[in-house]
Amino acid sequence: MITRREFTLLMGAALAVPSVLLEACGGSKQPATSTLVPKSTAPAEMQMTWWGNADRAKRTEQVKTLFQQKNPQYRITTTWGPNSSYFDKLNTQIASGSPPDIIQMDMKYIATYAAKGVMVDLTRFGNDTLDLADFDPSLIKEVKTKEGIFGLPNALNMFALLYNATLIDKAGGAPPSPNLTWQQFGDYCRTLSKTLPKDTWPVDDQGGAIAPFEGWIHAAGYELYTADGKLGFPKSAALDWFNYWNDLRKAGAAVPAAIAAAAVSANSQSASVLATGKAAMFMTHSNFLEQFQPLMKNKLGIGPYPTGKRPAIYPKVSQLWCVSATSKYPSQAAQFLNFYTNDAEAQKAVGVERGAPPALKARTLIAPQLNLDQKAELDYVQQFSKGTTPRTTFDPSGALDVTNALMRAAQSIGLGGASVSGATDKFWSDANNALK
Amino acid sequence: MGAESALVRGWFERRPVNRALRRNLVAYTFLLPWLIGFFGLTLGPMLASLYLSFTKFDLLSAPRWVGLDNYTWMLQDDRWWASVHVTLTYVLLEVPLKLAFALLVAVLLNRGLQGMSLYRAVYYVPSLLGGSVAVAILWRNVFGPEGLVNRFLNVAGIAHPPIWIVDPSYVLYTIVLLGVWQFGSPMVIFLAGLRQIPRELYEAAMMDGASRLRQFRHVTLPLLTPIIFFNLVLQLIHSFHAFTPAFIISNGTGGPVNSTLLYTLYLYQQGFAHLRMGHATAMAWVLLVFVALFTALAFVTSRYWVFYQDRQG
Repeated sequence: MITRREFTLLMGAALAVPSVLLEACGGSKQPATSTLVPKSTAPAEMQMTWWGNADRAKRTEQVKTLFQQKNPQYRITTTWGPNSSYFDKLNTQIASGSPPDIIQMDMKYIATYAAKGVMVDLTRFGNDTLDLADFDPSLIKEVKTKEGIFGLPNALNMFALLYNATLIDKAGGAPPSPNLTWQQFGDYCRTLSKTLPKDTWPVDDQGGAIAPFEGWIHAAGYELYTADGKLGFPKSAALDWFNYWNDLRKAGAAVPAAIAAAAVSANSQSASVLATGKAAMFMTHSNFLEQFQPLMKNKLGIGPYPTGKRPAIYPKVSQLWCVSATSKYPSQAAQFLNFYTNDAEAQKAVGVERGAPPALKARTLIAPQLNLDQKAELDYVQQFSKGTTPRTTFDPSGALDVTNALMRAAQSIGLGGASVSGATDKFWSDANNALK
Repeated sequence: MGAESALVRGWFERRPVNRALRRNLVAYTFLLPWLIGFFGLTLGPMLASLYLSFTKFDLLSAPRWVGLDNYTWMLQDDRWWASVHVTLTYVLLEVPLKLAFALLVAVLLNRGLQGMSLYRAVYYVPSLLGGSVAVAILWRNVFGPEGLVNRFLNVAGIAHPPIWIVDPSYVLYTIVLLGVWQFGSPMVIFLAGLRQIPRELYEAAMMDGASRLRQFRHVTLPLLTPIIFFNLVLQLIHSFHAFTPAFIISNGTGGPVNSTLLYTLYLYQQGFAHLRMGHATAMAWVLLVFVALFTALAFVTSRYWVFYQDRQG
């Protein structure tokens, strides 16, 4: 039996200090100056990081090896992993003052990092270091600000509707026409729902997904964000959006909310409703065709999102390569970016896994080696980028909050029993608060 | 060596305070690794986080003093209130259920069956795995759309059971269940406590004709109250810190619609997803106060229900 004194001892030994109190330390970073960085070919040991799957890793490692063979005085160590933990790790590394030299970056965050002076302005390198003569001008336009270029696009992709051609054909439907408006697309789904097998739906429930929403907003003639980082569309556009998906779900033309939510929370392509055959169509990005097709027996097709006043799609920067502002070897790191972009062997190694090559020559150069899906991606990007209006504003730093608020609002309608107008009000106030 | 130690000894012997220090020098030397750890890795970061909780800090640029803004922000933030609500629901369900279950299993295991040590080990295993990502993923699959639970329900004739892990009305309970399943460590402590209860008390009770239930009610429970109290405090603290299951099952979102937004998950989102370390550190300190209050409450009430051997009569 236990006495009070024993109890106190036991308790004292067991109570550790709560471990949730976070430690973090940070130093202020100097904004980059606009002086030219002289070319240096001195030996360099660099670190490089990206997110992605094993296929991407294999291709990127191959570029690294080629680069080291041509430049034996350089050594690059690489780390890669899933997207989910990538930015946690990167932010911690930046805060502790030791980020990798070469960093894969997302367009969603580039403006935030650039504003903090964490990345080198790539216009500070001469043509002998980083040659952008052959670079797709539309991509440069998308990333260039009056302060400079803080990340080099590593590929071009576009919003794309992937559809299960076999499944639609078996149900007696025609593939979705590339010229459908959002309204016509809804009708197409309603018609298709009548002939699809049980427990199969025409389209995934994507009311909470930011990419289709961005397409919807773009097609309506707006942008998600204004240049000064506020919401760039009226509340009515969001209301229409939530109504659109609510109507599709109610008509049995979109995947039920619970099944869609379970697939989203599983966070893997093989568990997605497209790969499992629960949905015949799925709105995503063009470079995902070659990732989804190997997971499925049925043949996939690719087409644009439905249109509005203008196409919902436009040439998009897939990802960026950045050079850390604290890198000891900025010139050598920029030489790697140059090699990745302009070297024929390097571009053959990367293929179109991240999207179409950013350098124009490389697009014709790699075409012969592509498989059918990769070729379809490249053709899609080249064919449908015509007549589109690129986006000109960056995501502000609260954009991730807006993305999450969209998902919460959509799920509150589909799963939580909220009204469409109530959910829209909540989304509107959450999104505006996030951007304050 | 000899001369040096004589010198050191001489220095110590000059002052009485130093003499006391010297007397305990060996102890302090042995404590040194812990002291370094405590000051360097615990107290230092805690003070830093206290400072950061009064700043706007995004990890990428230097912290800027904002006074109490991070604390007033919480009161105005819907999701903060949602996370408090979810966490309190979780704690108030998980802790009592887990303790009751742990006690039940401990009582069963305390009878002299053959191969008992094997059973004990087996029942402890979930606690070893408990906090791990793998178990949370397993849990997600068990309660997922085509998971074990729903297949069983299908066989039992329920054609369209809810998808437990995405239904806002059920998902938190699956996480509570996962917490309860990890009853191993309170169970082991209960077992140790049960073995300390003198046999003669049971014998005396039996002589008086007390049934097993009465023995449990009037002998086991009262004598076990210090252990129950100990487990209660530990599990309260543990439960407030629950993170991994909600993170994995909701894919880091705390969704659907905030239904799994445990406090620590929201804290993590503020800090690492939204780069608002000021919010995150302030939330951590408020959590510390929460935990302290609940622990204090347990201590205050303990004088009415905890029975210590040295205070009887």
